[in-house]
Amino acid sequence: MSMSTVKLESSDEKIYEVERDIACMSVTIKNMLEDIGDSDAPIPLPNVTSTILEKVLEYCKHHHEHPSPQPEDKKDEKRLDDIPPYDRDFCKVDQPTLFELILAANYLDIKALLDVTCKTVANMIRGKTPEEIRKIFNIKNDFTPDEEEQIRKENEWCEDKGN
Amino acid sequence: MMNNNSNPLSSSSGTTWIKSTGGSMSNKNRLVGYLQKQAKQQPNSNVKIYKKKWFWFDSDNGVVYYSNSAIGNYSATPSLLSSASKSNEKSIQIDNFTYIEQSVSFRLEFTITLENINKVYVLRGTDEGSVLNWVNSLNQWKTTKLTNVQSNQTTPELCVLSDSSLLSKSSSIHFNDLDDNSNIHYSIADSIISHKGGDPSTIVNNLSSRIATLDKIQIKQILSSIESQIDYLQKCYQEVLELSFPQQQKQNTTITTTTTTSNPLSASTSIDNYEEEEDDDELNSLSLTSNQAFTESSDIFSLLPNHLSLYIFSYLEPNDLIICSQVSTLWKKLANDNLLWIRFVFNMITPASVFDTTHHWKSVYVANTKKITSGKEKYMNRAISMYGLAPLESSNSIKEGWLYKRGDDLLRIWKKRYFVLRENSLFYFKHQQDNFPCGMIFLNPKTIVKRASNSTRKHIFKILQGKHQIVGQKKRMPYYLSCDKEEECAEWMKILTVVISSNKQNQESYGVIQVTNHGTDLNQFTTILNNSTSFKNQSSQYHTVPFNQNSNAGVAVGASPAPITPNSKPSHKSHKKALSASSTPSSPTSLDHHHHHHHNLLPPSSPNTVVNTPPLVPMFGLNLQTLMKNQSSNPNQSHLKIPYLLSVCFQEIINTGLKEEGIFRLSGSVKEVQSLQESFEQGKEIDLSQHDIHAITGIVKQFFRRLPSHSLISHDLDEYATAVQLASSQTEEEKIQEFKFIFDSISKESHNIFAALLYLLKLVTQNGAQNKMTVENLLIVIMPTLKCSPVLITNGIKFHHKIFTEDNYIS
Repeated sequence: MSMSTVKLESSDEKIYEVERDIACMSVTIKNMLEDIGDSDAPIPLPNVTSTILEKVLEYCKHHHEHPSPQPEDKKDEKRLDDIPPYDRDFCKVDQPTLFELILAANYLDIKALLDVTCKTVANMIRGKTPEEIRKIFNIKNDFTPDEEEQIRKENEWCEDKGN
Repeated sequence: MMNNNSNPLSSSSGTTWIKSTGGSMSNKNRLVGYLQKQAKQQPNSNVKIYKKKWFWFDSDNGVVYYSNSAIGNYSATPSLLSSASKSNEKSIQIDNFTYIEQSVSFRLEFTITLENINKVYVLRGTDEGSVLNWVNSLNQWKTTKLTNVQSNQTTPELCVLSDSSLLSKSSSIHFNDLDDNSNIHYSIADSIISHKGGDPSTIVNNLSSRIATLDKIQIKQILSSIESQIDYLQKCYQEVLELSFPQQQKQNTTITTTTTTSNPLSASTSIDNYEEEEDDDELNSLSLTSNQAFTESSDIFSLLPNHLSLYIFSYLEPNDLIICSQVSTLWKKLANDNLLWIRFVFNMITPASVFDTTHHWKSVYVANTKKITSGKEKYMNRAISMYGLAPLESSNSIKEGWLYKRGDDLLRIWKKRYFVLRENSLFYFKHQQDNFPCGMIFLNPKTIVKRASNSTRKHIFKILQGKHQIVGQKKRMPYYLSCDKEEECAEWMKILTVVISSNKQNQESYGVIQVTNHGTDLNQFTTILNNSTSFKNQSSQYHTVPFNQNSNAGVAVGASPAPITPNSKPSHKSHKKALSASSTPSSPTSLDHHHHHHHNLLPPSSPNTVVNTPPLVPMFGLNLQTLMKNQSSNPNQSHLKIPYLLSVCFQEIINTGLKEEGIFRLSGSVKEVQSLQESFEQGKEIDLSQHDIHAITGIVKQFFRRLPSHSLISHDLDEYATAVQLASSQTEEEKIQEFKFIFDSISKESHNIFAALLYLLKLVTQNGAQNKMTVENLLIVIMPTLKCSPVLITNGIKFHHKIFTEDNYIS
């Protein structure tokens, strides 16, 4: 592997030159590089816009330079309160950007980024009432009053617990 | 977004060029019609929304008005229109800094740019003709009126690229010298529009009749330039007609794409668009489908692929998921996903049911959480889930009480059990306070309750389960239940019949049992194994059966009627002798037992003591750990993995006994067995080949019978083995793995003994042709001595090679 940098092309045809190691944090790009071998041609990323790609690269760069210790304790994988400070700040973006980051992380296959963005969204949902959730994500309540009443009844017991 | 309204739009066709009845067209020609106006772009959204508006142009003051709907009729004058609808209408003032041009990229679109206030209106027509009308007429009005009013001001050159604008340019060049050029412009345009594809000579005539002041050469020049365009224009017109529908669709697709990916790709052709704020209010009042598209597009969750939404949800706790399921239909579907919930039910369900995809884990979770108050119900639900059924809804027993249940095994012994009827399940417990039921009878709709004739007990009824009980399992023997009184019996039968018939009515609400073959996922399996360990621990916590009550399920209890406790008194002896003399073939061994029993206790007055020296190495009745520890101190025996006695006996049986008819069934001489025991305990060298093979099997049976309760296998694991056997949802391979797990979980000593014993029994059954010992026969004779579940033995024999992996079992 002689090349130290690779070129990435966003959907709006902007080309970014990044270190190979950073780019390879994306499993998708890593696989592409393995497939095409050494080539100067930029790797097209038709699903990622330049704005998002810049964010993603910023995230990768930071984590490349500050590798976080891999938590060996896999017991409680689904924790929500273990987002590192940098990542928490990184995810302080508007909703469309956050969701585009999720899509990009999914497409580029960057597990850490996908986890942290999904956790951020999960944190936005956690502990809210259905009405609050609808407000946050601009979701239309498409239940009929009857349906709503039925669902409320079904789930009554959990509200009773009050914790 | 325009899928639905594209048809109405094209039918309510765009701009209408209304020709006045009079000859003069300058004042009365009006531009009126529906156009689609691009709405102000939402922040964070790249979706362009077009809204249908009614547009008209007032040529008197040069203002384009528009409002939500057509007001008045077409012939109403603009001024009337405007006065009638002052409140709704909006206006665009055309002045010198207004540029009207057809869109470069999309021929059905034109823009009105107000340069001085930096505003762009993007408008769309449904056909190119109307678009060109608007563009040309407005430009014409602009050049004529405004240049006339402000004489020396130069009109900025229009960068209109369309062919028709070339036309209007060319005409303005040629008619510059004319007095009333606007009239000519109109008439030319009019001619072209009204005589589309018509004969050029008509146009010539038309023109020459109206414009007498032009000479022939001028007209010809005009016409040649016109004609050169006409063909092209017509082609364009046709093309537009053909393409207008597909094009709208195409536009549609672009919008949908942007919607689904929320990707600002389509921005390439968009022009920054500003609009009055009032327009945004209309978003709510207009019920166009475009608005729905808009609302959806702002719900970002609907844009995420489901697997990503689920990934987000996977971080949530049950309570949050339940809240989520109340948000919207989509969220309900996502939050109720079975895969999300299985995570929470792992410690609530039996490992056996994990593979059953028919479970709805959320309801399992909810039911379990609801019923967490009572340990009994928790375990009843657990028992139910073994059968692949939905958990209990109600926590009230329909009926409870003591009944006698006949054993399923060949011994048919009546056992007193506490029965609890809940919904469609009849549980039975050894003790009223027990948490874990020792069994459950599922009352499916095909279950039949019948009176049965008296046998050793009276007041008997039987429960026959329907055929569809558990697919893949043998049809079950009927359950025989007996009451103390006749009235009780009638009462139970009545209630059970009622329950079964009510189940018939709401059959579908109960889980239908299905056996599915699931792929064995290794990870999942590990989880199950871990899980079953916790299951074991839990059940041992709750289990209250005292050890010395010999509470093993199944055969072992009934088969050893003599209470084997060190406290039994010598006076029992004669009584037991009498009893066993008339019973099973294994009676000699039970006689043996009593001899040895006394021997072991060494009552000083015992007349039966044959050997005077006390036993040096006690071998019988010790727990295995102690026995093996003792044995390891003997250098000759320390290498053995199983007790010395078993090792030598097993070897002898393998060497000489496998083909012996009735091996393990026939009993050796009582005396010989006794002397063998003494020899072993005194540590004498014994040449087993000198002894009767049936005495050797006798001493083996003796050894097992005298082991303390539960020393081979713990009560919980034993019960678990039965549960595994009953579990409907596991494949054979999975069950083998479960059995392997059970055998791996017991103590090392027990494991080795089982490995050796089962290996021996396997060899015995393999020689069934000679020794006439089938598995069933073998079980009948061997089970009373082994205090464990028969399923362990049958499966252990059947799958020995898969369960035990050691090379050498016996020596």
